[in-house]
Amino acid sequence: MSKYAVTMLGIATSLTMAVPAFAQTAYPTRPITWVVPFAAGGVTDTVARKMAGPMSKVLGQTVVVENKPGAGGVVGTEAVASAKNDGYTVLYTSSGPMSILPALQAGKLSYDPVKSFTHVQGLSVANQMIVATPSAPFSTLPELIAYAKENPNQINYGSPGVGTAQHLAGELLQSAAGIKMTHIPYKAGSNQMVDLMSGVIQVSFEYSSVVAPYVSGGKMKVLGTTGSKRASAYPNAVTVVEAGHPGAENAGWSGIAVPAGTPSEVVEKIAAAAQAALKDPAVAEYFESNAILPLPEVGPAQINEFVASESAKFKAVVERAGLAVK
Amino acid sequence: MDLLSNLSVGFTTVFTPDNLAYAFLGCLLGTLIGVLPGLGPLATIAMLLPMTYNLAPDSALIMLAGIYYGAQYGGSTTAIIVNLPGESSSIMTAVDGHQMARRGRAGVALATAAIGSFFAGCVATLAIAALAKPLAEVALQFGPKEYFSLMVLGLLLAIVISADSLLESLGMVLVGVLWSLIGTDVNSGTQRFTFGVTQLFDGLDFVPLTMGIFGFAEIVRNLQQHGAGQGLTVEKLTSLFPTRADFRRMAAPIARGTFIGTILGVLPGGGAALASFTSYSVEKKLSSNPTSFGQGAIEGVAGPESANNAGAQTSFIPLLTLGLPANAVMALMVGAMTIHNIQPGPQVMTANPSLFWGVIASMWVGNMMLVILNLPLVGLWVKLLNIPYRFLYPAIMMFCCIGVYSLKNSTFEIYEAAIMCIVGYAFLMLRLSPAPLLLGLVLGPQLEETFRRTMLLSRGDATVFFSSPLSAVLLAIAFCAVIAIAVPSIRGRRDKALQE
Amino acid sequence: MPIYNQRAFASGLLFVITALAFFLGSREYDLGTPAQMGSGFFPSLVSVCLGGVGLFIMLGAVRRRSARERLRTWNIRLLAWIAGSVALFAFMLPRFGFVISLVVLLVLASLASHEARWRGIVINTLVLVAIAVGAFVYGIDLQLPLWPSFIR
Repeated sequence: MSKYAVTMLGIATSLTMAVPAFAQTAYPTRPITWVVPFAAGGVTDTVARKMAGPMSKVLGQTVVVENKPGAGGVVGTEAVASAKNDGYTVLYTSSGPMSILPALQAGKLSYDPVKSFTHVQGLSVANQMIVATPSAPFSTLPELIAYAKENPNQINYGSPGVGTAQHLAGELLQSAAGIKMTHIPYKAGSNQMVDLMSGVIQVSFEYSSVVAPYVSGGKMKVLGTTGSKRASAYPNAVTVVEAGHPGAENAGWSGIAVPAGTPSEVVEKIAAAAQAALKDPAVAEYFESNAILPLPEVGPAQINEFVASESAKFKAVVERAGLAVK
Repeated sequence: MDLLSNLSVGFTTVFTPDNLAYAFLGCLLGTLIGVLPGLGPLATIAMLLPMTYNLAPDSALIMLAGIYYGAQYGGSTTAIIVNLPGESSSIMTAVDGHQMARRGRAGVALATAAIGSFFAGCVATLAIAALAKPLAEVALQFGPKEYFSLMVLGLLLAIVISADSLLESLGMVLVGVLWSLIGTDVNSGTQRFTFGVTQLFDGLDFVPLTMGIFGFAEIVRNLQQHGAGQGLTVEKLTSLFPTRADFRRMAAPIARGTFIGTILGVLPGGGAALASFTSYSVEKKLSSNPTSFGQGAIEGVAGPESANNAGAQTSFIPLLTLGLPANAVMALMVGAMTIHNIQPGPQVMTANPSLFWGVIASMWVGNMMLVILNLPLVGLWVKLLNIPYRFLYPAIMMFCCIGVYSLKNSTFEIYEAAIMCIVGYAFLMLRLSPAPLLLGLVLGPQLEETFRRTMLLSRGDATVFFSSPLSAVLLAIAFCAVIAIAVPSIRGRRDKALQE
Repeated sequence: MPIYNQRAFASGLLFVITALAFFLGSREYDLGTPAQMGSGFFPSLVSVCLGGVGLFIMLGAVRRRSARERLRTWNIRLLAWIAGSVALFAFMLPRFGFVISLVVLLVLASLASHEARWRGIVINTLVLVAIAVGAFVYGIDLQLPLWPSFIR
């Protein structure tokens, strides 16, 4: 970038700040930063990067994905909560930092999932696949539950950490089916895969995108899904509803948010761009093949209610399982 | 001859003008950025990753692999010339490498590192091509208890590193482990020892810590001891290239280091760091002249440097055969593969054979290029040592500050480095070697994780550490090693006391 | 009781203090049982080990057979210049921008040395700032605020 361009950018920036009316009509006049509060290479990051291209086309400005990982998404989320509400800093929100962590450690976060943000658009919901090590003495969800009833606390199930949607999926199944298993937390999604393959832990509740390569390689078997519909990639895996435990239904969600107080015109534009990106063939195909459900219908008018209901659901689970951090 | 046909698939992929160019570009960029203090392989790849988004998948991975080795290699250069290890696996290179540099043997140290790395790279490439699957099985044999025992062994071996007191080294290891516990507890989500500071939730960052302890504190010491008029070298520069005697001394350490690195690199998390520390300890223990270690022993550069390069390479095995990232850099590689619509995992080898074998062949090509690229640069790096120190140290401080800032685009890490400068100075004044502390810091989180996971899985029964054969063997080796290390040292002290 | 090895004694003391701090700190966290360890279990365990090692070193330092070593004197002035200029750079960067903060860092750091001469400092600073801006801002496009926030 030339010095001239830097100067012009500076002038443009100060104009944007000084004359808000002008800025609104012209939005977006410069690249937009999309903060993903997780490390590069994860599911969230991949979705964001795949969507950034089509979104840039609609908005007429580049959408730059910036990874700000740390503390289960808290670091990046906090950064956006305190960013300028001009629509140039956008957040990738998800169940962890928005619904589960607030329920786990109420009062400890520097942001409020409702008050600090204007939620813009729902992006995705995904159920977890219930997978098991190949040598496990059960091959379907009902067999797992029957085995767990006969052998209470014998089954070890892994998750990528306390308070993740995957952990809550395990807790939900236990309370819905009246079984007891032992929770073994790991540091990240991929870390538990070795132990699951070698049988150190027997069961895991993970997203399809994580387990797909191991399942197709015969290193794991799919027992079921925490959704209410069977996943198209695993037509034989029964749902928790079919197995008779509708209370174990569970899903992680994601969306887009901006700092509270962002002008509504800007919110509408970002939402429109995101909706268009969700319909992009490459994005749609990625969602489809990874059993992720897109949420184009959850727009600015619907998303607040959506977030509130998801958060209430997770809060209830956390309380029921007695998971809140002291 | 499966191996040969596979390798030829790989070399056909790499030996296209485009891919050779990307391999070269990756090595070059990686070296250039990796040489800057504070910018290790992880930061370099994160920074350059977007550049590869528009390339074909095989070119992108070949270039990323080049960046990775380049940055690793560049990091060793910085470690040797200005005593700034950019990541955990080059700490041991810094210890003796920098001492060699100060004694006028910087060229020899750099050449040793290059030769050791190249040899290790060649062997590791062959190992991956021939033994990827069985080696991946090794990784699967390591459950939590085996991994815990391995780390105990590694940490206990590390206490030989310090010249003086084994107990003081042990203390430093434990301090490192305690420091590593700062941050979010994986098992419960509790914030420990963070005082509510969000930036500490993920623990103390390694890079600002080394920049403070090695970089800044060392500057204070240098200014205090030598003044700042001349360059860093104490003795006159001797030859740039190793002599015949040097070659003889480095051969066995390189071979042993390569072996250690190839095995340990396969294990997830800290494999390469553990390998370089273990190699150093082994060389020091085997040496007929252990007191020369820490004073610029060529074995102390050759062994660890070969070990970390072999380890860096074999850490691709879990990624390519199981889809498991062994460390943070490999996690970024997973990201790169996903962006290019490749699902990393057991099927990569069969679904994309040209990509799989292409990446493996590019490792060898990359190592070759690094030697060609870097041997002529040795002269240039050595010249840096002749710059009067009063001009050099502000430059080092500048690069450290920028590098540390660029990690997360936040100033918190710079403050951390400033505080660590004071801590590091205290260590220098007490003659406490910081290397064991850093190993404790790197391995600490996994030590706790595997310990707690084992106990959780065994429902509180600690005897499982001894009932699993692999774990029991590792602990037995650790026990014997401690005795082997401690007995001569106690006897030595007694002899000294008797003479007085 | 005479302390023969002052250096070792101080090192041991440092370990004991660190161990004590972490031990007291981990009392705030749940200890749990060996099967269900709380977050305080492992830090307490390691602190106890470190405390033991520290005490052992201190005991060794007062034994008559131990080596005679004195404490080295600290050069507080140098340490303050170096650590201080780094901290000041961190403080100034978001407020005054990259260029001004870097100039302050380089000049202050250079002044730490007795052999500093103004001419050398000015030239060195200018060259280094030019390299840094060229390499980091334009070369690898680091996200750095170049100028103070009130000019931008």
